[in-house]
Amino acid sequence: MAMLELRGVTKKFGGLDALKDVNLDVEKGELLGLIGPNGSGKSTLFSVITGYYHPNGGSIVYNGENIVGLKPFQICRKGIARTFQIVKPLPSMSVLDNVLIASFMRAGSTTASRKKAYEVLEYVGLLGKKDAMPTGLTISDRKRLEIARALALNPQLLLLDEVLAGLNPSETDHAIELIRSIHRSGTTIIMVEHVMRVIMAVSQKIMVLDHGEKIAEGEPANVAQDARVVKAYLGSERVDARSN
Amino acid sequence: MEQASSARFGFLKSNRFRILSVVAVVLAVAPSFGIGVYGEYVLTEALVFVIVTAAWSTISGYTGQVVLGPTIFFGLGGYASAYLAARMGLSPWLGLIVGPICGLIFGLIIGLPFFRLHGPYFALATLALTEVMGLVATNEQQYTGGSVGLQIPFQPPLNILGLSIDLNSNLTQYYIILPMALACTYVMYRIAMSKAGYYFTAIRDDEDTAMSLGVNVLKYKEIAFAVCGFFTALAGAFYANFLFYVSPDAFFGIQLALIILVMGVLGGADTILGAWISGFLLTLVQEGLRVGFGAAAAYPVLIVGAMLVLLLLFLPKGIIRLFTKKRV
Repeated sequence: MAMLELRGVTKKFGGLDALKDVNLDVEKGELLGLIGPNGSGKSTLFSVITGYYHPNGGSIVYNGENIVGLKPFQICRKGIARTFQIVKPLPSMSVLDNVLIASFMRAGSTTASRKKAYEVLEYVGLLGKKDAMPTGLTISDRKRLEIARALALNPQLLLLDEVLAGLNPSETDHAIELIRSIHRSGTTIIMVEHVMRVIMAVSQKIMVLDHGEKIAEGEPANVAQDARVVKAYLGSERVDARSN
Repeated sequence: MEQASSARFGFLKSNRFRILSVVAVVLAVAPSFGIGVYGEYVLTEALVFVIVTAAWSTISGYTGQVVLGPTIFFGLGGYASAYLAARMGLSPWLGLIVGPICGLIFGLIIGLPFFRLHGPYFALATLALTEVMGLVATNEQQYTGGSVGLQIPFQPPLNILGLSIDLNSNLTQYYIILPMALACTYVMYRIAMSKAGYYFTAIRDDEDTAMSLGVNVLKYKEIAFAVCGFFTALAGAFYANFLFYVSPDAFFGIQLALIILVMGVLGGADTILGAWISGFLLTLVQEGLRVGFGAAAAYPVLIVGAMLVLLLLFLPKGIIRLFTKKRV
């Protein structure tokens, strides 16, 4: 049985189908790339999985349990952590305190939470800036902070929403190394990304959304050859490359 | 990691603890230095408002759920004390136990519908509720004594181990409220520094993010509201004993709510220790103005209002932020 099974997931905003009958299996230990043009429903899918949006139809089964209808914090406790495409640091709290909020969930005591927060900050390379306020961080560091907070939750399944967007090439390389390392440590990952070079290189499997529908799924090399994908997405790669 | 091991005892080693110890000692010996009955009266009032302000900060400052009507709980506690004495013939000091329990439970109950509201709507709902409670207190004469309120009869002296303690004296009351204020602010400070306190601030900063980090937003709003209700009602219950009466105006009045709000902002809304600054500063300023202009003059209200405006313009984070940026 797959770790995460989506069956017929549908989400409507007014008359618009943001997600149409999406099916997806994510196996434990997998690194799945989720791609698609702007507005194709990638972030919506994350929000539906994590309980921020209630789907209009379909089921989402995680570790054998239907999680539709659970609140975001309950889904988080079940082991699914997410980052936000638009980074959402808690602005009045230091970098350390931001991570501490997350580590409280698993750690029993304040002392253990702090220890965990230090570990995670060291792991993502933010320990030197632990006392900084998030508003003073570079975009690269803010993305790291998002990842650090998600990791402090000890997730089994990690949803990364465009954590590479806005990074320069060397920052991107560092971030990829970090994602690979998280994956190697046994965390299942679904990542949304616009940078094709990255998603092709990192993912074991890719799913392509277009106008809320899954149009392709499979190994990166095969997906890249798919006619519908080329038409819907890869044809605009040059535009994307410039905007990145 | 060094912080991790010392975190638990950090407060006892910190400067704020030293300052607070000095303040406590000065206050404890103050009556011996001829401040007189009036001095004791003013200091007692200030200490009541230290508790109220710290309680307001827990929900409004830390958690970001601005309560415009903290008098909901203050009045509840006050009327609990007075009701026990005037209608049931019990000691009004039992109100110090009954009042805060009522405040806590009432906070939990009204939190359920109120936290469906967000931002200014929540704030206005609390203001509306305190108006409603004032009206109930005015009209339910058989329980509340109507607009005149309830008188608390003088209590016979308490005999403990052969010592006769006069609970009616200003001095005795002062020595009750002083340790109470210290203990209450310490407990609220510990809550603010705990996991719950961090969750409060996460909720204030961004509810969506808080949820994504495993925070049960409604549960922790309820906890913050219950803490506010408990301590505000405790202060109200004491205040009824201190005034020897309760009335809708003195306990549910809009002016009292306004004073509490000014105090909350004055010291720094998101600090517990700031309550010590604002509780004393504003009580002393008010008393000074009352002495200067006479009790009936409108100037004190005017000047307090002007203080609030200037404060919001120039020191929106409160006086305590002149001294520290830390979580206090």
